[in-house]
Amino acid sequence: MMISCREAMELASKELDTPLSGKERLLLRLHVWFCTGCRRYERQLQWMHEVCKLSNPEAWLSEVRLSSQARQRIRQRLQRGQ
Amino acid sequence: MTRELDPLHWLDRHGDLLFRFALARVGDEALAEDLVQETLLAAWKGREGYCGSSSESTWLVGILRHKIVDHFRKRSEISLEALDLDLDRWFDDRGHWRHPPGAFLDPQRSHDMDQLKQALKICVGHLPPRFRHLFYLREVDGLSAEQIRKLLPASSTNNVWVMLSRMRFQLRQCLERSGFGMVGEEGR
Repeated sequence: MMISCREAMELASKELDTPLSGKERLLLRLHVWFCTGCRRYERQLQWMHEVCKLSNPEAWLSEVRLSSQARQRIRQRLQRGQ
Repeated sequence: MTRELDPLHWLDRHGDLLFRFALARVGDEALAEDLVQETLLAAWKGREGYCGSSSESTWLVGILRHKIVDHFRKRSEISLEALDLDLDRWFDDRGHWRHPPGAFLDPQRSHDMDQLKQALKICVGHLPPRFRHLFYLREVDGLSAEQIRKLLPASSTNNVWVMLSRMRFQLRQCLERSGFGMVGEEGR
């Protein structure tokens, strides 16, 4: 009836992507009730997932810019391409 | 106001945004530059299709997204091996943790939340390119596992779940290693 931590780890991720079946849900809840490590793991995965959902997509971009050489190269290609 | 349909103008106005977007997802500057170029050429060819209902930058980023998906699709299939994650190192024969996960700082406090974001961004940058792409599709773009299965493509949705699970495992370990983890019981 009990699942292993390894199986619980998979289910803790899967529940972020799809509703678990009744059986999967029960097995996961039962496992994390008894297992501190997996309870933590599940909560931390949920945090990571939430942080991504709350972040503005632009926050993932760095402040880099196209180099002037690349810009020049692309410009020439576009002028030829038109 | 009439919109100026001119790829040179697009390059001036949106070149940096497109480059940033591509670089975050493919992790290679030369490749990101090529993708920007391909995007602008494709946009010029497909300019009739731009009806002006979305902003110019949204339209261009949409084309770039397709280019990025195509880039990865042309290569071999995404495989778990690229992650270099040996779960037998983390779990014993009975599937128990060898080293149970450590506690994290509490991201419900806003300061810790900012730290989590920063650390996560760095850890995402350490993922292999295919998995970074997977991360963006699921966690940033919010696509479903089923939509991702068609895009990659992957043989089954189950495969996508497994890849997401390993990707998250890897990210979590990276966060813990990068000092986000907290020793002791005060953390959660």
